[in-house]
Amino acid sequence: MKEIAQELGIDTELVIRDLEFHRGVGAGYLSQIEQGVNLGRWEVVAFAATAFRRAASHALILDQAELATALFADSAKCYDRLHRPYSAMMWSVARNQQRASASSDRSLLEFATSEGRYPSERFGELAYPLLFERAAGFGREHTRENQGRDGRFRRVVDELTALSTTPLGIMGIPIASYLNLATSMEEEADPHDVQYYLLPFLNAYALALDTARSKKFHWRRLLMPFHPIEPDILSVLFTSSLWLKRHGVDLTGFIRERTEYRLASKLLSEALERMQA
Amino acid sequence: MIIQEVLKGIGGIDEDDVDSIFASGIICNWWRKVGSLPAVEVPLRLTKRNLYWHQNRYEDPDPLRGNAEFREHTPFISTTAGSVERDAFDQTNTLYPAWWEALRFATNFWTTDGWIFYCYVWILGRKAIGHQAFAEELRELHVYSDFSLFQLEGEITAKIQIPTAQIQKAEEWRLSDIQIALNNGNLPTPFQTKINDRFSDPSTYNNVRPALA
Repeated sequence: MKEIAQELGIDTELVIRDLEFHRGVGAGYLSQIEQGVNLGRWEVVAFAATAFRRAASHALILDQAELATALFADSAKCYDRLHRPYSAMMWSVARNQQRASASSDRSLLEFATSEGRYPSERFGELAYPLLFERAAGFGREHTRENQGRDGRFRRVVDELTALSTTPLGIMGIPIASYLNLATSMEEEADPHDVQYYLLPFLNAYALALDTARSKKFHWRRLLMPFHPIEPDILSVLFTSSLWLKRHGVDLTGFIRERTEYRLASKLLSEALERMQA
Repeated sequence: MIIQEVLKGIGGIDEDDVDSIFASGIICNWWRKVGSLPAVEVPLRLTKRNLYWHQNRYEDPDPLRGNAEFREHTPFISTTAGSVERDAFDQTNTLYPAWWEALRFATNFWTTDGWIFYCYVWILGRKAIGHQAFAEELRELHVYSDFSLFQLEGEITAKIQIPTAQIQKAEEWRLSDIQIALNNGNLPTPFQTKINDRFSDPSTYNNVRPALA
Protein backbone atom coordinates (compact mmCIF):
# COMPACT_ATOMS: atom_id res chain seq x y z
CA MET A 1 0.00 0.00 0.00
CA LYS A 2 2.82 2.40 0.91
CA GLU A 3 4.42 1.74 -2.47
CA ILE A 4 1.15 2.50 -4.29
CA ALA A 5 0.82 5.74 -2.33
CA GLN A 6 4.37 6.75 -3.24
CA GLU A 7 3.70 5.81 -6.86
CA LEU A 8 0.70 8.13 -6.70
CA GLY A 9 2.83 11.04 -5.54
CA ILE A 10 1.67 11.12 -1.89
CA ASP A 11 4.41 12.26 0.50
CA THR A 12 4.42 9.23 2.82
CA GLU A 13 6.98 10.81 5.19
CA LEU A 14 4.47 13.60 5.74
CA VAL A 15 1.72 11.01 6.29
CA ILE A 16 3.85 9.43 9.06
CA ARG A 17 4.15 12.79 10.85
CA ASP A 18 0.50 13.65 10.23
CA LEU A 19 -0.57 10.29 11.68
CA GLU A 20 1.27 11.05 14.92
CA PHE A 21 -0.36 14.49 15.11
CA HIS A 22 -3.91 13.23 14.57
CA ARG A 23 -3.49 10.29 16.94
CA GLY A 24 -1.99 12.67 19.52
CA VAL A 25 -4.67 15.36 19.33
CA GLY A 26 -7.41 12.72 19.40
CA ALA A 27 -5.95 11.39 22.66
CA GLY A 28 -5.45 14.96 23.92
CA TYR A 29 -9.10 15.86 23.43
CA LEU A 30 -10.25 12.64 25.10
CA SER A 31 -7.95 13.31 28.01
CA GLN A 32 -9.56 16.77 28.38
CA ILE A 33 -13.01 15.19 28.43
CA GLU A 34 -11.93 12.64 31.07
CA GLN A 35 -10.51 15.45 33.20
CA GLY A 36 -13.81 17.29 33.01
CA VAL A 37 -12.44 20.08 30.78
CA ASN A 38 -14.77 21.34 28.05
CA LEU A 39 -17.56 19.08 29.30
CA GLY A 40 -20.75 19.71 27.40
CA ARG A 41 -18.96 20.87 24.26
CA TRP A 42 -19.94 18.30 21.64
CA GLU A 43 -17.37 19.78 19.25
CA VAL A 44 -14.50 18.47 21.35
CA VAL A 45 -15.71 14.87 20.99
CA ALA A 46 -16.31 15.47 17.27
CA PHE A 47 -12.71 16.74 16.90
CA ALA A 48 -11.42 13.57 18.59
CA ALA A 49 -13.62 11.35 16.37
CA THR A 50 -12.36 13.16 13.27
CA ALA A 51 -8.72 12.96 14.35
CA PHE A 52 -8.83 9.19 15.07
CA ARG A 53 -10.73 8.51 11.86
CA ARG A 54 -8.11 10.36 9.79
CA ALA A 55 -5.22 8.76 11.68
CA ALA A 56 -6.70 5.32 10.94
CA SER A 57 -6.75 6.01 7.19
CA HIS A 58 -3.16 7.27 7.39
CA ALA A 59 -2.19 4.04 9.18
CA LEU A 60 -3.70 1.97 6.38
CA ILE A 61 -1.70 3.86 3.77
CA LEU A 62 1.41 3.06 5.80
CA ASP A 63 0.54 -0.67 5.92
CA GLN A 64 -0.23 -0.57 9.65
CA ALA A 65 -3.56 -2.43 9.54
CA GLU A 66 -3.57 -3.35 13.25
CA LEU A 67 -3.03 0.25 14.27
CA ALA A 68 -5.75 1.33 11.81
CA THR A 69 -8.19 -1.09 13.42
CA ALA A 70 -7.42 0.28 16.89
CA LEU A 71 -7.80 3.89 15.70
CA PHE A 72 -11.11 3.17 13.97
CA ALA A 73 -12.27 1.70 17.29
CA ASP A 74 -11.16 4.87 19.12
CA SER A 75 -13.11 6.91 16.58
CA ALA A 76 -16.17 4.66 16.98
CA LYS A 77 -16.14 5.23 20.75
CA CYS A 78 -16.29 8.99 20.15
CA TYR A 79 -19.22 8.65 17.71
CA ASP A 80 -20.92 6.47 20.36
CA ARG A 81 -20.41 9.27 22.90
CA LEU A 82 -22.17 11.60 20.47
CA HIS A 83 -24.97 9.05 19.91
CA ARG A 84 -24.20 9.09 16.20
CA PRO A 85 -25.51 6.16 14.13
CA TYR A 86 -22.27 6.47 12.11
CA SER A 87 -20.48 4.62 14.93
CA ALA A 88 -21.83 1.33 13.50
CA MET A 89 -19.71 1.89 10.39
CA MET A 90 -16.59 2.73 12.40
CA TRP A 91 -17.06 -0.36 14.61
CA SER A 92 -17.58 -2.43 11.48
CA VAL A 93 -14.34 -1.25 9.89
CA ALA A 94 -12.64 -1.72 13.28
CA ARG A 95 -13.67 -5.37 12.86
CA ASN A 96 -15.74 -5.37 16.02
CA GLN A 97 -19.03 -6.75 14.74
CA GLN A 98 -20.44 -7.12 18.23
CA ARG A 99 -20.09 -3.40 18.98
CA ALA A 100 -21.27 -2.54 15.45
CA SER A 101 -24.38 -4.63 16.03
CA ALA A 102 -25.03 -2.99 19.40
CA SER A 103 -24.65 0.49 17.88
CA SER A 104 -26.84 -0.36 14.92
CA ASP A 105 -29.57 -1.89 17.06
CA ARG A 106 -29.49 1.02 19.51
CA SER A 107 -29.83 3.64 16.75
CA LEU A 108 -32.83 2.00 15.11
CA LEU A 109 -34.44 1.32 18.47
CA GLU A 110 -33.98 4.96 19.51
CA PHE A 111 -35.72 6.05 16.34
CA ALA A 112 -38.54 3.54 16.74
CA THR A 113 -39.25 4.63 20.29
CA SER A 114 -38.83 8.37 19.68
CA GLU A 115 -42.38 8.84 18.40
CA GLY A 116 -41.39 11.56 15.96
CA ARG A 117 -38.95 13.30 18.30
CA TYR A 118 -35.77 11.75 16.89
CA PRO A 119 -33.05 14.45 16.55
CA SER A 120 -33.23 15.77 13.00
CA GLU A 121 -29.45 16.18 12.66
CA ARG A 122 -29.01 12.40 13.05
CA PHE A 123 -31.97 11.32 10.96
CA GLY A 124 -30.16 10.86 7.61
CA GLU A 125 -27.38 8.96 9.37
CA LEU A 126 -29.80 6.12 10.09
CA ALA A 127 -28.85 4.88 6.61
CA TYR A 128 -25.63 3.54 8.16
CA PRO A 129 -27.19 1.10 10.64
CA LEU A 130 -29.57 -0.05 7.89
CA LEU A 131 -26.57 -1.22 5.88
CA PHE A 132 -25.09 -3.02 8.85
CA GLU A 133 -28.36 -4.71 9.81
CA ARG A 134 -28.73 -6.40 6.42
CA ALA A 135 -25.03 -7.06 5.82
CA ALA A 136 -24.69 -8.81 9.17
CA GLY A 137 -27.70 -10.97 8.34
CA PHE A 138 -30.12 -10.26 11.16
CA GLY A 139 -33.33 -11.91 10.16
CA ARG A 140 -31.70 -15.13 8.95
CA GLU A 141 -32.95 -16.89 12.02
CA HIS A 142 -36.58 -16.26 12.88
CA THR A 143 -36.16 -15.42 16.53
CA ARG A 144 -38.35 -12.87 18.26
CA GLU A 145 -35.39 -10.49 18.60
CA ASN A 146 -34.59 -10.68 14.90
CA GLN A 147 -38.20 -10.10 13.98
CA GLY A 148 -38.11 -6.94 16.07
CA ARG A 149 -34.93 -5.79 14.32
CA ASP A 150 -36.44 -6.56 10.93
CA GLY A 151 -39.54 -4.54 11.77
CA ARG A 152 -37.45 -1.55 12.81
CA PHE A 153 -35.34 -1.92 9.66
CA ARG A 154 -38.40 -1.73 7.40
CA ARG A 155 -39.84 1.18 9.36
CA VAL A 156 -36.65 3.25 9.04
CA VAL A 157 -36.26 2.41 5.33
CA ASP A 158 -39.77 3.69 4.80
CA GLU A 159 -39.07 6.91 6.72
CA LEU A 160 -35.73 7.60 5.02
CA THR A 161 -37.25 7.32 1.54
CA ALA A 162 -38.33 10.94 2.04
CA LEU A 163 -34.63 11.90 2.18
CA SER A 164 -33.62 9.95 -0.96
CA THR A 165 -31.78 12.79 -2.66
CA THR A 166 -30.05 14.14 0.47
CA PRO A 167 -26.26 13.80 0.24
CA LEU A 168 -24.56 11.80 2.98
CA GLY A 169 -20.91 11.44 3.96
CA ILE A 170 -17.72 13.07 2.71
CA MET A 171 -18.48 12.18 -0.91
CA GLY A 172 -22.07 13.38 -0.75
CA ILE A 173 -23.56 10.12 -2.02
CA PRO A 174 -27.39 10.32 -2.00
CA ILE A 175 -29.20 8.45 0.76
CA ALA A 176 -31.09 6.55 -1.97
CA SER A 177 -27.86 4.69 -2.81
CA TYR A 178 -27.54 3.55 0.81
CA LEU A 179 -31.17 2.45 0.91
CA ASN A 180 -30.86 0.54 -2.38
CA LEU A 181 -27.77 -1.27 -1.17
CA ALA A 182 -29.22 -2.07 2.24
CA THR A 183 -32.51 -3.40 0.87
CA SER A 184 -30.73 -5.41 -1.84
CA MET A 185 -29.00 -7.54 0.81
CA GLU A 186 -31.90 -9.93 1.41
CA GLU A 187 -30.58 -13.39 2.28
CA GLU A 188 -32.03 -14.99 -0.84
CA ALA A 189 -30.88 -12.15 -3.15
CA ASP A 190 -28.65 -12.63 -6.17
CA PRO A 191 -25.10 -11.40 -5.35
CA HIS A 192 -25.01 -9.65 -8.73
CA ASP A 193 -27.78 -7.34 -7.53
CA VAL A 194 -25.81 -6.41 -4.44
CA GLN A 195 -22.72 -5.77 -6.57
CA TYR A 196 -24.83 -3.60 -8.86
CA TYR A 197 -25.91 -1.41 -5.96
CA LEU A 198 -22.28 -1.01 -4.89
CA LEU A 199 -21.47 0.69 -8.20
CA PRO A 200 -22.62 4.21 -7.17
CA PHE A 201 -20.18 4.05 -4.26
CA LEU A 202 -17.30 2.76 -6.38
CA ASN A 203 -17.96 5.31 -9.12
CA ALA A 204 -18.19 8.22 -6.65
CA TYR A 205 -14.92 7.13 -5.08
CA ALA A 206 -13.16 6.78 -8.44
CA LEU A 207 -14.28 10.24 -9.52
CA ALA A 208 -13.28 11.79 -6.20
CA LEU A 209 -9.87 10.14 -6.39
CA ASP A 210 -9.19 11.34 -9.93
CA THR A 211 -10.28 14.88 -9.07
CA ALA A 212 -8.27 14.92 -5.87
CA ARG A 213 -5.14 13.76 -7.70
CA SER A 214 -5.45 16.55 -10.23
CA LYS A 215 -5.00 19.10 -7.42
CA LYS A 216 -1.34 18.28 -6.98
CA PHE A 217 -0.43 20.67 -4.15
CA HIS A 218 -3.24 19.41 -1.94
CA TRP A 219 -2.95 15.78 -3.01
CA ARG A 220 0.74 15.38 -2.22
CA ARG A 221 0.13 16.69 1.31
CA LEU A 222 -3.36 15.18 1.72
CA LEU A 223 -4.73 18.68 2.36
CA MET A 224 -8.36 17.81 1.81
CA PRO A 225 -11.27 16.32 3.75
CA PHE A 226 -11.42 13.41 1.28
CA HIS A 227 -8.82 10.72 2.00
CA PRO A 228 -7.34 8.31 -0.59
CA ILE A 229 -8.35 5.51 1.79
CA GLU A 230 -11.65 7.20 2.54
CA PRO A 231 -13.31 5.63 5.62
CA ASP A 232 -16.76 6.33 4.16
CA ILE A 233 -16.18 4.10 1.14
CA LEU A 234 -14.04 1.57 3.03
CA SER A 235 -16.68 1.06 5.70
CA VAL A 236 -19.50 0.60 3.16
CA LEU A 237 -17.45 -1.98 1.25
CA PHE A 238 -16.18 -3.73 4.36
CA THR A 239 -19.70 -3.96 5.77
CA SER A 240 -21.17 -5.20 2.47
CA SER A 241 -18.43 -7.80 2.21
CA LEU A 242 -19.96 -9.52 5.25
CA TRP A 243 -23.03 -10.34 3.15
CA LEU A 244 -21.05 -11.12 0.00
CA LYS A 245 -18.71 -13.47 1.86
CA ARG A 246 -21.69 -15.44 3.20
CA HIS A 247 -22.83 -15.83 -0.40
CA GLY A 248 -19.46 -17.01 -1.69
CA VAL A 249 -18.44 -13.77 -3.43
CA ASP A 250 -15.04 -12.19 -3.06
CA LEU A 251 -15.53 -8.40 -3.06
CA THR A 252 -11.88 -7.58 -3.71
CA GLY A 253 -12.01 -9.69 -6.87
CA PHE A 254 -15.09 -7.77 -8.03
CA ILE A 255 -13.35 -4.44 -7.39
CA ARG A 256 -10.22 -5.54 -9.23
CA GLU A 257 -12.29 -6.49 -12.27
CA ARG A 258 -13.41 -2.89 -12.60
CA THR A 259 -10.48 -2.05 -14.83
CA GLU A 260 -11.91 1.23 -16.05
CA TYR A 261 -10.68 2.81 -12.83
CA ARG A 262 -7.45 0.92 -12.25
CA LEU A 263 -6.02 3.23 -9.66
CA ALA A 264 -9.14 3.35 -7.50
CA SER A 265 -9.55 -0.42 -7.81
CA LYS A 266 -5.96 -1.03 -6.76
CA LEU A 267 -6.14 1.21 -3.70
CA LEU A 268 -9.50 -0.07 -2.51
CA SER A 269 -8.83 -3.76 -3.02
CA GLU A 270 -5.45 -3.48 -1.27
CA ALA A 271 -7.03 -1.64 1.67
CA LEU A 272 -9.81 -4.22 1.96
CA GLU A 273 -7.37 -7.10 1.84
CA ARG A 274 -5.29 -5.52 4.61
CA MET A 275 -8.42 -5.05 6.73
CA GLN A 276 -9.64 -8.59 6.13
CA ALA A 277 -6.27 -10.25 6.72
CA MET B 1 -21.58 41.05 5.92
CA ILE B 2 -19.79 38.95 8.51
CA ILE B 3 -16.56 39.75 10.34
CA GLN B 4 -14.87 36.35 10.38
CA GLU B 5 -11.97 35.32 12.59
CA VAL B 6 -9.37 33.36 10.62
CA LEU B 7 -5.98 31.79 11.33
CA LYS B 8 -2.89 31.92 9.12
CA GLY B 9 0.08 29.62 9.74
CA ILE B 10 3.49 30.83 8.53
CA GLY B 11 6.65 28.77 8.94
CA GLY B 12 10.32 29.69 8.60
CA ILE B 13 10.04 33.16 10.15
CA ASP B 14 11.46 34.67 13.35
CA GLU B 15 10.26 37.26 15.84
CA ASP B 16 11.62 40.16 13.74
CA ASP B 17 9.56 38.92 10.79
CA VAL B 18 6.49 38.85 13.05
CA ASP B 19 7.14 42.49 14.00
CA SER B 20 7.41 43.35 10.29
CA ILE B 21 4.08 41.65 9.63
CA PHE B 22 2.54 43.57 12.54
CA ALA B 23 3.85 46.76 10.87
CA SER B 24 2.74 46.10 7.29
CA GLY B 25 0.10 43.35 7.42
CA ILE B 26 0.17 39.97 5.68
CA ILE B 27 0.68 40.53 1.97
CA CYS B 28 0.15 38.16 -0.97
CA ASN B 29 3.04 36.46 -2.79
CA TRP B 30 2.53 38.69 -5.84
CA TRP B 31 3.11 41.84 -3.75
CA ARG B 32 6.14 40.29 -2.06
CA LYS B 33 7.63 39.39 -5.43
CA VAL B 34 7.22 42.77 -7.14
CA GLY B 35 8.14 44.84 -4.06
CA SER B 36 5.89 47.73 -4.99
CA LEU B 37 2.35 46.77 -5.88
CA PRO B 38 1.04 48.14 -9.22
CA ALA B 39 -2.43 49.15 -8.00
CA VAL B 40 -3.74 49.47 -11.55
CA GLU B 41 -3.23 45.72 -12.04
CA VAL B 42 -5.12 44.61 -8.92
CA PRO B 43 -8.59 44.40 -10.55
CA LEU B 44 -7.06 42.44 -13.44
CA ARG B 45 -5.63 39.85 -11.04
CA LEU B 46 -8.71 39.36 -8.86
CA THR B 47 -10.48 37.03 -11.27
CA LYS B 48 -12.35 33.76 -11.03
CA ARG B 49 -9.66 32.14 -13.14
CA ASN B 50 -6.93 33.13 -10.70
CA LEU B 51 -8.97 32.07 -7.66
CA TYR B 52 -9.40 28.60 -9.19
CA TRP B 53 -5.70 28.45 -10.06
CA HIS B 54 -4.88 29.47 -6.48
CA GLN B 55 -6.99 26.59 -5.18
CA ASN B 56 -6.36 23.89 -7.75
CA ARG B 57 -3.14 24.64 -9.65
CA TYR B 58 -1.06 26.40 -7.03
CA GLU B 59 2.28 24.91 -8.09
CA ASP B 60 1.59 24.60 -11.83
CA PRO B 61 3.39 26.73 -14.44
CA ASP B 62 1.14 29.64 -15.35
CA PRO B 63 1.22 30.47 -19.09
CA LEU B 64 -0.03 34.00 -18.29
CA ARG B 65 3.11 34.64 -16.17
CA GLY B 66 5.85 33.23 -18.40
CA ASN B 67 5.26 29.75 -17.01
CA ALA B 68 6.38 30.72 -13.50
CA GLU B 69 4.60 28.70 -10.80
CA PHE B 70 1.22 30.27 -10.09
CA ARG B 71 1.96 30.58 -6.38
CA GLU B 72 4.78 33.06 -7.06
CA HIS B 73 2.24 35.52 -8.47
CA THR B 74 -0.92 34.72 -6.57
CA PRO B 75 -2.91 37.76 -5.43
CA PHE B 76 -4.72 35.60 -2.86
CA ILE B 77 -3.86 34.64 0.74
CA SER B 78 -5.10 31.30 2.14
CA THR B 79 -6.39 31.27 5.71
CA THR B 80 -8.54 28.87 7.70
CA ALA B 81 -11.54 29.19 10.00
CA GLY B 82 -12.33 25.52 10.65
CA SER B 83 -15.43 23.57 9.58
CA VAL B 84 -18.86 25.13 9.15
CA GLU B 85 -19.69 23.54 12.49
CA ARG B 86 -22.94 21.62 12.79
CA ASP B 87 -23.88 21.57 9.09
CA ALA B 88 -20.58 20.03 8.12
CA PHE B 89 -20.61 17.46 10.90
CA ASP B 90 -24.17 16.37 10.21
CA GLN B 91 -23.37 15.61 6.58
CA THR B 92 -19.76 14.43 6.69
CA ASN B 93 -19.27 13.13 10.27
CA THR B 94 -16.06 15.16 10.44
CA LEU B 95 -15.26 18.43 12.21
CA TYR B 96 -12.01 20.38 12.01
CA PRO B 97 -10.87 23.19 14.31
CA ALA B 98 -9.00 26.03 12.60
CA TRP B 99 -5.76 25.58 14.54
CA TRP B 100 -4.99 22.11 13.10
CA GLU B 101 -4.73 23.42 9.56
CA ALA B 102 -2.92 26.60 10.60
CA LEU B 103 -0.41 24.56 12.61
CA ARG B 104 0.29 22.28 9.65
CA PHE B 105 1.38 25.28 7.60
CA ALA B 106 3.12 27.04 10.50
CA THR B 107 5.32 23.98 11.09
CA ASN B 108 5.78 23.32 7.38
CA PHE B 109 4.01 20.01 7.88
CA TRP B 110 5.64 19.09 11.17
CA THR B 111 9.25 19.88 10.23
CA THR B 112 9.99 23.36 11.71
CA ASP B 113 8.92 25.85 14.37
CA GLY B 114 6.38 28.43 13.18
CA TRP B 115 3.81 31.12 13.94
CA ILE B 116 0.01 31.27 13.80
CA PHE B 117 -1.53 34.69 13.17
CA TYR B 118 -5.05 35.46 14.41
CA CYS B 119 -6.83 37.83 12.02
CA TYR B 120 -10.26 39.11 11.03
CA VAL B 121 -11.51 39.31 7.44
CA TRP B 122 -14.78 40.55 5.99
CA ILE B 123 -17.08 38.04 4.28
CA LEU B 124 -20.06 38.88 2.12
CA GLY B 125 -21.88 35.51 2.15
CA ARG B 126 -21.73 35.19 -1.64
CA LYS B 127 -19.06 35.27 -4.35
CA ALA B 128 -17.31 38.65 -4.50
CA ILE B 129 -14.07 37.82 -6.30
CA GLY B 130 -13.51 41.28 -7.79
CA HIS B 131 -13.88 43.03 -4.45
CA GLN B 132 -10.52 43.26 -2.75
CA ALA B 133 -12.07 44.09 0.62
CA PHE B 134 -14.00 40.81 0.91
CA ALA B 135 -12.54 37.35 1.48
CA GLU B 136 -13.97 34.30 -0.33
CA GLU B 137 -15.47 31.61 1.91
CA LEU B 138 -14.51 28.45 0.01
CA ARG B 139 -15.61 26.28 2.96
CA GLU B 140 -19.19 27.46 2.56
CA LEU B 141 -20.86 24.55 0.77
CA HIS B 142 -23.69 26.65 -0.62
CA VAL B 143 -21.45 29.26 -2.27
CA TYR B 144 -18.55 27.08 -3.48
CA SER B 145 -20.06 23.59 -3.61
CA ASP B 146 -17.49 22.39 -6.17
CA PHE B 147 -14.61 22.84 -3.71
CA SER B 148 -16.01 21.02 -0.70
CA LEU B 149 -14.27 17.64 -1.02
CA PHE B 150 -10.92 18.80 -2.21
CA GLN B 151 -10.04 21.96 -0.33
CA LEU B 152 -8.35 22.62 2.94
CA GLU B 153 -10.67 22.19 5.83
CA GLY B 154 -12.31 25.55 6.47
CA GLU B 155 -10.49 27.53 3.79
CA ILE B 156 -11.17 31.26 3.55
CA THR B 157 -9.20 33.15 0.91
CA ALA B 158 -8.22 36.78 1.51
CA LYS B 159 -7.03 39.12 -1.24
CA ILE B 160 -3.86 41.19 -1.72
CA GLN B 161 -3.34 42.07 1.97
CA ILE B 162 -4.64 41.41 5.47
CA PRO B 163 -4.05 44.87 6.99
CA THR B 164 -2.29 45.14 10.33
CA ALA B 165 -5.43 46.60 11.93
CA GLN B 166 -7.06 43.20 11.30
CA ILE B 167 -4.26 41.13 12.91
CA GLN B 168 -4.84 40.58 16.60
CA LYS B 169 -1.90 38.45 17.70
CA ALA B 170 0.64 35.81 16.71
CA GLU B 171 1.50 32.60 18.55
CA GLU B 172 4.87 30.91 18.36
CA TRP B 173 4.67 27.12 18.16
CA ARG B 174 7.77 25.03 18.74
CA LEU B 175 7.91 21.61 17.16
CA SER B 176 9.66 20.00 20.13
CA ASP B 177 6.95 21.27 22.53
CA ILE B 178 4.22 19.94 20.21
CA GLN B 179 5.82 16.51 20.09
CA ILE B 180 6.29 16.32 23.87
CA ALA B 181 2.65 17.31 24.51
CA LEU B 182 1.28 14.79 22.00
CA ASN B 183 3.50 11.99 23.32
CA ASN B 184 2.13 12.70 26.81
CA GLY B 185 -1.48 12.56 25.61
CA ASN B 186 -2.01 16.31 25.94
CA LEU B 187 -3.06 18.99 23.47
CA PRO B 188 -0.10 21.15 22.45
CA THR B 189 0.04 24.84 23.42
CA PRO B 190 1.99 27.78 21.97
CA PHE B 191 5.43 28.72 23.33
CA GLN B 192 4.57 32.43 23.43
CA THR B 193 1.95 34.93 22.21
CA LYS B 194 2.73 38.36 20.78
CA ILE B 195 -0.02 40.99 20.74
CA ASN B 196 -0.25 43.44 17.84
CA ASP B 197 -0.54 47.03 19.15
CA ARG B 198 -1.93 48.19 15.80
CA PHE B 199 -4.90 45.83 16.00
CA SER B 200 -8.28 47.53 15.89
CA ASP B 201 -10.71 45.32 17.80
CA PRO B 202 -13.82 44.58 15.69
CA SER B 203 -15.82 43.34 18.68
CA THR B 204 -17.45 46.77 18.83
CA TYR B 205 -19.06 46.02 15.47
CA ASN B 206 -21.94 43.68 14.65
CA ASN B 207 -21.63 40.22 13.11
CA VAL B 208 -18.33 39.09 14.58
CA ARG B 209 -18.10 35.33 14.12
CA PRO B 210 -15.31 33.39 15.87
CA ALA B 211 -13.28 30.63 14.23
CA LEU B 212 -14.03 27.11 15.40
CA ALA B 213 -11.60 26.35 18.24
